[in-house]
Amino acid sequence: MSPQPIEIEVLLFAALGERAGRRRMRVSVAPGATAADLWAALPIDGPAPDSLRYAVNTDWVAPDHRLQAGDTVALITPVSGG
Amino acid sequence: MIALTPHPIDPEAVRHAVEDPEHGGLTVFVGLTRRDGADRPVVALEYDAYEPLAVAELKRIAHDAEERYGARVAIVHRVGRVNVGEPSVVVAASAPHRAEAFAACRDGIDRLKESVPVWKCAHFADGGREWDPGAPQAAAP
Repeated sequence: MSPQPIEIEVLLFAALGERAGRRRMRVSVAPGATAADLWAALPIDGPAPDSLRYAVNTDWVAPDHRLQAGDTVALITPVSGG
Repeated sequence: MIALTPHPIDPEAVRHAVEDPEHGGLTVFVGLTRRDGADRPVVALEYDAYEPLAVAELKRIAHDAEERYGARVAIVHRVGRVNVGEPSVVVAASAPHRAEAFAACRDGIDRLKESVPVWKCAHFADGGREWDPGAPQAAAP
């Protein structure tokens, strides 16, 4: 029996949110999936943007950070504030 | 004072937040929305942010300025639509002497532009809009 997928809440902003048509969505990934694995589960065509960073809840994490069920993960594209 | 706000920023209020009787230098940086040339004039910028992380990052910047320069730093950034000529960000820094006040203020705005999760979208006079692609960023801290 294959392991149950885990549910992750994904937050998208700015141009990425517009590409996805939503700023918040729930996706299922395999247990042991990393932050970088989330891209493939999103309803967005094409490769992940360069320099994508990740925050779980409100802490920065590395792309190889292993996700836990119930995590909220923000995908942070290059910033342009100021 | 560390905040994101959908309302106009009063630079005087941000300055007031860093006043300290032991601090003889105080600098204020005001970032204004600009028209950005005659070819395709901008009428407004629209800012999006991941607010909880942006506030956490701004607090980290202020904390580091205190450790490094003995400075008090206040930062307020707009979210939502900001018309040309309005402040989109205000950074105020005070320190015992001017060199530290200037350095803390400059560090504050430089680090904000590098790392704080805020994004701008230009709205043009011709009705178009375009997200700023941002600068390539360092690995997550």
